[in-house]
Amino acid sequence: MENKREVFYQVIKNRRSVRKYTDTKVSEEDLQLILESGRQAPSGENAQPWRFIVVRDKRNKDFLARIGKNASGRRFTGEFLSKQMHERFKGLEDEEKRALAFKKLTSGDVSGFVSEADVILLILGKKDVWDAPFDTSAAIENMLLTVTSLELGACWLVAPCIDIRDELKMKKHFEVPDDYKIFAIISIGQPAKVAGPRPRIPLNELTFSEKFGEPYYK
Amino acid sequence: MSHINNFKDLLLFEIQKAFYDERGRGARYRLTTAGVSYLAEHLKEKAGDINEVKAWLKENGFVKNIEFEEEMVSLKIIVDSCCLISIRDYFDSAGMQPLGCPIANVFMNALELKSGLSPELLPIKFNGGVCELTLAKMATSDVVEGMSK
Repeated sequence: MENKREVFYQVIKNRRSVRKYTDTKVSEEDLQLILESGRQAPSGENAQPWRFIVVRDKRNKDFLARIGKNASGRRFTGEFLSKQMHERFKGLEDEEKRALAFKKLTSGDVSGFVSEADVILLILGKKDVWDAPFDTSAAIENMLLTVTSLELGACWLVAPCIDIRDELKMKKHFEVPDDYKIFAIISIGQPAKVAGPRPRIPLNELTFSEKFGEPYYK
Repeated sequence: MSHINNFKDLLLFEIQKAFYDERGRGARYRLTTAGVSYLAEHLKEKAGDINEVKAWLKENGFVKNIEFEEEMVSLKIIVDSCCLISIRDYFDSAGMQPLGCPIANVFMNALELKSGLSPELLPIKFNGGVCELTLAKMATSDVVEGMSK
């Protein structure tokens, strides 16, 4: 086995949010390993509040794409009209590029791509478990890292679940009982395009020593 | 106003603030249906008509007046003297935008019943006893044309 530390960190570094997929299918063997990785996540009091719905049917994937596109489009149209988006992109001086970014966001396409993925996972959590949001997030990250290790691509989407109006539509469509919440959806497939790494805040700006604001790394 | 009414208003603010402290900014998206079921029960099929909603709110003393300014991708609603204004003021005193607005919610619901698409509430503007609610209607990315500066 290669150096475990290096291999593990490389998987973490290679993970991307993949939004373009080929038609290649995800094998049942790979899918099971991904789901198994979620199952192995830590949870408070070992409650294991997560449940997963595997979506491969085109009609269901198209339904999720519509929900996601509308949710993102609506939210970003709001940000655009209130000029919050202009503030966010004020560093982007190229007007053409800025208009393209605004168009992409207001169109909702940042979430509408999911139906192109071979598999979509709905990640549910039991509401009566105190730590369900954290437990399900741990399961999701485990799955994303496994996806990367298998040289597949995935995208973790919250936009279709964050507004109660969208979540209720999804719960009705997938017959999710009221005592479960849909926390996220994950699209998984063979990447057609892998983007470069996104910028990260330097460690010395986000790590503090003993109290907030006192840099740990000087 | 009685102690009981003051207490109820403060309680509604405190509950929402506690929700925000736990959930952060995402809390506002969990309140987009608050108040909708009450009006739906009373207005039934008329709940999808913004003019019927406006008339009902005025008749029942929820607001003193409401005016609309409708544009292609937005509906502006000017609300005068809303019964929930003291909750709004608690948020304002805390330096926060209200997490949600039941008056906006019932109009968002009306628009969704008509178009099948739910709108987005923009940050609320305050001017004394008046609130300016703007609902962004889900449009297309054409909204960007000529407005990207």
